[in-house]
Amino acid sequence: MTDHELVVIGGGPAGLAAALSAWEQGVRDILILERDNQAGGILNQCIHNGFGLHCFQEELTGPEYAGRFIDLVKQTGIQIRTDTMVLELSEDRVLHTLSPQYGYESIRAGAVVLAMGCRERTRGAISIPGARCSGIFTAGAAQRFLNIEGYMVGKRVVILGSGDIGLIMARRMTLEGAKVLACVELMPYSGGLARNIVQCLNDFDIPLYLSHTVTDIRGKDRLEQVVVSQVDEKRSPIPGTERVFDCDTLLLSVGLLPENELSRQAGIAIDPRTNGPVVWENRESSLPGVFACGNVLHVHDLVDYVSAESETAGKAAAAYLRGERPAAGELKIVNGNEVSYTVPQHIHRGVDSVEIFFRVRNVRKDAAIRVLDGQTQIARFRREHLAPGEMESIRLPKVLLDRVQGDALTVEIEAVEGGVPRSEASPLADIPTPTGKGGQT
Amino acid sequence: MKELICITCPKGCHLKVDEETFAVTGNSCPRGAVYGANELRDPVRVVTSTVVVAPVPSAGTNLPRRLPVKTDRPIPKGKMFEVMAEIAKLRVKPPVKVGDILISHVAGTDGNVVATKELTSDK
Repeated sequence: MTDHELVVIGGGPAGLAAALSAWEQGVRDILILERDNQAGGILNQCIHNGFGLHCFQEELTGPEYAGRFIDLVKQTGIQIRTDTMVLELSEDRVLHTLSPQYGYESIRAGAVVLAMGCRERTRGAISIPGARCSGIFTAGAAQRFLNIEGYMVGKRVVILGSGDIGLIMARRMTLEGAKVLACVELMPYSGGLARNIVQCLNDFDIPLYLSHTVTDIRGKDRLEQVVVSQVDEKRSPIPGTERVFDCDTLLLSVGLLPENELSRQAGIAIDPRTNGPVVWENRESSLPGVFACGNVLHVHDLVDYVSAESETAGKAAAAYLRGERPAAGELKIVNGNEVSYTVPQHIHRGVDSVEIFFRVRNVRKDAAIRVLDGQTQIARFRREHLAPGEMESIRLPKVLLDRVQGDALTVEIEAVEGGVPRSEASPLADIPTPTGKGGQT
Repeated sequence: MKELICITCPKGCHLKVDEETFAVTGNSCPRGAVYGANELRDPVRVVTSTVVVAPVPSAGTNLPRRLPVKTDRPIPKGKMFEVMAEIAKLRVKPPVKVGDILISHVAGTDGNVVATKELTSDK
């Protein structure tokens, strides 16, 4: 058994930023464990641009963003061990690892940062009926095949789900010569960033079918056809609305799940709303000395936010290693009306200002976010635009937190009379959303 | 008034652009005003792709198969496929540093195709 002060599980943007931040705080024995053959995580395959506007004030591609952090890490004494799989994390912070170079090893850590990221939901997770032919990929798997391995996965493509990876792949496949026939989204709004709808679908006249889903998959060896149907308000397919697409490839961009097998094994409390650990404002989990950041904690839209969050976790891990413990006293953060979760889930009494991250359930225009102490509103934040696909945040200053009477704060979206207005005037409504049935083959 | 979503950054501001004066409202930073006006006059995009890494016998299997690249500035939207065709013809060998120009003035634009990742033969 070897000992390390800080062990970071995962060498993607979260792990790199957490390790750097701990180093800056004076921790000198840091080991990053990465299962891929290089650091950088999913950024290595995200060759498109748009990363780093918050963090570096310029527009970088994924590999460039990762490269900046890897270069910074190389200037420190932080060790990165690639090709290393963590099999188990125990409650007393012993990690069991496997790698071609060192074989089986156990490592005792003074503190641990969980930065394992997330993985894609698959066909099995959403139970699409039909043939079990080849040609069905998660969008991220196709992205890896294309951008890292150099293989085109198909020529005529339908994309299910309008999450960012699906949208990015619609553009990427089109630029590489494939015909992307449609992007199909179950919900009445897109799960991706608005900018990606514009530059990945509209730029190439790829139709987005909102409130539609794939209801059948046909093909003997390779995919030959998918059937797409409109869905009702309960998301059930409407008979008679079927349209058939002749295609050889179906890409699934149907959501991401934080990858918390290790956390669960270690007995760390998981929030069923985020599928990530329950954390304090310093990103410490229910297991003392174990911190979590990035997509393993909750799925982020922007890597810049991952880096910022990971800095918090790295700093807190360093403080833990110095023997500092936050003051006792808990203030819960509860999700109220139209808010699906909050991170952190609870904060320590007496801390400095806290940024609360959350997602909303509905698309709203000219909305307000309210923070309630019991029934009393203590803060209100106006937002021109809210969407479930775009993570929101509010900052609560110390003066406000110190005045809180109850033991929980509720974050909610201000109710409007007559229910929830959908933003009809949004430019998203300009995207053709065919409603009638008809062949699109 | 033309309604647009700004794609300059992931914030995605909802812009309104006057078709005659190209005056922009709804932007929360100066880049939005530039984007909004350009998008109506002469839309431009950054193109990102990958190029084939030519096999180097001495490097064994450590060499990656593809190197990611981008245009170092936005190029006219209508030229995207021409840029892709030029990138497809390219082969690179190590060493390549981030920012190295691989194709200058790609497809007759004032943009260059540059590497976005380091390529070395030793791992």
